[in-house]
Amino acid sequence: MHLIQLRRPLQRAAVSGCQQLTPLVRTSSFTERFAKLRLDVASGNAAVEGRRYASVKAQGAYRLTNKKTIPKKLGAKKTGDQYVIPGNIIYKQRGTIWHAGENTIIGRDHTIHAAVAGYVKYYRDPQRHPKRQYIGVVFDKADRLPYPVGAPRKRKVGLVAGPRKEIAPVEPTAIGPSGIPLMVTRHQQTQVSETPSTVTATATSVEVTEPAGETPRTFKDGNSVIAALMEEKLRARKLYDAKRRELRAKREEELRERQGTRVFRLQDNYAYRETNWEIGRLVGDAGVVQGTENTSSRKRKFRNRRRRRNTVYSTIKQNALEKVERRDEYRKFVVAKRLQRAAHEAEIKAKMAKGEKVAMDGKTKKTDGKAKDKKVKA
Amino acid sequence: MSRPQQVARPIVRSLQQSRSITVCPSRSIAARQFSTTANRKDEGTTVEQQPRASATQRLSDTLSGSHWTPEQLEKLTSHTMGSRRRRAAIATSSDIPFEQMPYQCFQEARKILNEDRQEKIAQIVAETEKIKHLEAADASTMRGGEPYKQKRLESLRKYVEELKILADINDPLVKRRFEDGMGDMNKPIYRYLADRKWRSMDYKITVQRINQFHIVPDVLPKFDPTMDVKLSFRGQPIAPGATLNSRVTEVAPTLKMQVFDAGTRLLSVVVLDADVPDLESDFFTRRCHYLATNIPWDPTKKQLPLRQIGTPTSQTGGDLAVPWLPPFAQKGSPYHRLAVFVLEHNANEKIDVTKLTERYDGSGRELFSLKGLRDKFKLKVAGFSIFRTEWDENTAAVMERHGILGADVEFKQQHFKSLKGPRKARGWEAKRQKPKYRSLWKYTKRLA
Repeated sequence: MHLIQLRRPLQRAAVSGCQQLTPLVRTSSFTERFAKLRLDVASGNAAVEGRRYASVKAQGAYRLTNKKTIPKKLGAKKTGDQYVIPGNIIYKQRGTIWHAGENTIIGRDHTIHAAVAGYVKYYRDPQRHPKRQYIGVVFDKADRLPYPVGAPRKRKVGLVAGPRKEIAPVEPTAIGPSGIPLMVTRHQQTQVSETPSTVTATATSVEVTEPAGETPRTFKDGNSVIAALMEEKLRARKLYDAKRRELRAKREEELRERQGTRVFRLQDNYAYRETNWEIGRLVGDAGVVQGTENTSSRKRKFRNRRRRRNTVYSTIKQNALEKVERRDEYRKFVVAKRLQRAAHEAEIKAKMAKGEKVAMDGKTKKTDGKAKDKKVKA
Repeated sequence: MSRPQQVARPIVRSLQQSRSITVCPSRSIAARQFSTTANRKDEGTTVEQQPRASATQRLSDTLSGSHWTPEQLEKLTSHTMGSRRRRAAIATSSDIPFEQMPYQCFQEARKILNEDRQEKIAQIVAETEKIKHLEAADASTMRGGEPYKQKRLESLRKYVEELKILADINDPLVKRRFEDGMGDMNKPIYRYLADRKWRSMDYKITVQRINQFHIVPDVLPKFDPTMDVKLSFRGQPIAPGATLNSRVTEVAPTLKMQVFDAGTRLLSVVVLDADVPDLESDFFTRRCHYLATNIPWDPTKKQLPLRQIGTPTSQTGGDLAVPWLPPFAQKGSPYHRLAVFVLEHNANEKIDVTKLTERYDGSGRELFSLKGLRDKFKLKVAGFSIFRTEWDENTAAVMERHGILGADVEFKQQHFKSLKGPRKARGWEAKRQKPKYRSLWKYTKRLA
């Protein structure tokens, strides 16, 4: 803005002040005079100002709220010192603009509720946190929060006394209110196998062979100590194995018994049915359900077997073929050797017939013989 | 080589050596072969000679009568328990005392520690001389006068105490004896170690309980425990703050207390309920459940059975002012905090029990104030422990047995009327109650 523009109102005020010294003074009141002395921009001449006023109201005043979103209705629902009862919402917010202070509860969506009946106080507690602002509820309207440090907490009992009611223990009845039995148990005779008893017998026999108490050991050197310890370890392992076998047998026995006993319970629709969990337990106990130890599928099992077989048989076949081949080779080798020897013998015979002269240069003859052999082989 | 063989190798070697060499029959044979370092002759103030015996026997001898239970003792001394390494070590080191363990590094380290100890002892002697000299000196010759002399003496004594601890702090035998619970609590080093151990965990737990159960603003404005207090009911130790069944708490507990500063002092024990609901005033008040006083206590003492105080057969001494009232909580009331406070008397002055009895027994139990007791009798709150009680299946019987009224009362939550006004009836029927719909009244008016 130019300096002249700034000065204009002042000039105007000065001029108008001078004009009012004329007879008008008597007629107008003091307030009017002061009103004219005001350095008001609006009261000045618009043309002089060089400014236009809007002939239509600005759009801001007519701005509409967004109807496409659901209003969240956040903010304070109770003012300071207002009376609240337990559960009343004091403040709705996104995040913790206000924190839960004395006798208030903060909800999952950070809404602050009253925990007791009393009066709402909005306060800060620099001892607890330098920046946070808290909402609290006090029992006495005149109280101020935070309470002084070291003072006993102010709490109310908030209970009403009444006669104590004895809750009679509910006795389980076999017959329901409609006069029909609540459950039916059906026993099924199962074949008892002989194996578990034998297993337990072996387990006990192992225990019997074990010495009853601890035998006093005489330690002479480290090696004997170690030997004794290893022995002990082996014995312990044997015992452990026997115990495990026994336990497994016992479990199997229990399972068989359970499978033989079926309990049918009365349903809401007057039908008897086994409960789902009991049906589930027929397979085995939770955690030790039978069949779960083998994680692979049946199909996979077969595939594995096939592959295993293939590998085994192919190896056997290959081995057999190799053997045959080796045997053939050996046979050929033996035949060749025999031929060679025969040729050699024939040669010697020929030499014997010709005389000793030929024997002097037998080297060349020998090579010739070898060449002949090669020819035979080929 | 397998693991146990590796472990037993040095022991085996030493045993083989012992067969071939025979030296110095006056000294223990085992000690001679294992290292070249000499035996530590001066065992010092805190070390005693132990008789030779088998390892198991010796172990059980040293540990019996300490804080180990018989089961733990059996476990510790048995051959069958523990790792193979441990069993091999126990089995083969039958007559080697701990201080003569056949490890050269151990023995060399002991030598260094012994040197350090001698140094510290010399320092103690020098400082004691200084103190004696200062005590004999005339205070008027000093620039600060008598106050200066006293201050100087105090700081010197403090330094001597520090040195006493430093002299023994690194001794493996001291450490071992402390860990076995055999430490003599009259000696500063064991008190120091006990204090350090307590502050490492139990103290922290106690402070946490004081804060989280709001003992500090509710019962006392400020409190920092200085002694270890543990509770056990019917021989069972309980965790601080545990909620106990009222049958368990029917008899007074046993306190396991440990103080960490020297000397005998007099103690008072208070058990109070900090959450007694008072419906007339709608506030929680306090009730005294137990009060005993003039209990002599020193660092060597460990257990204080509260039920024995005041009986002629009492071992611990002390006077019973307010007998044990079993803690109870009426049905529906929130849990009651039962706080156990141990208070130290001022300058070992005895308190008149009759005064306490007439003040706090009977109807005086109600509206009990620990702050009032502390201020009136000039006590210092030193120890703290806590347990909680709630209504359970045995409370009614316990209350009946002890003539406590109020078992037939049940508390329920107070109901607050809604702040909103009554709501106008809405819906199809409500709308058609008007005379305009007279023709429909046969459908709308007869509704239950």
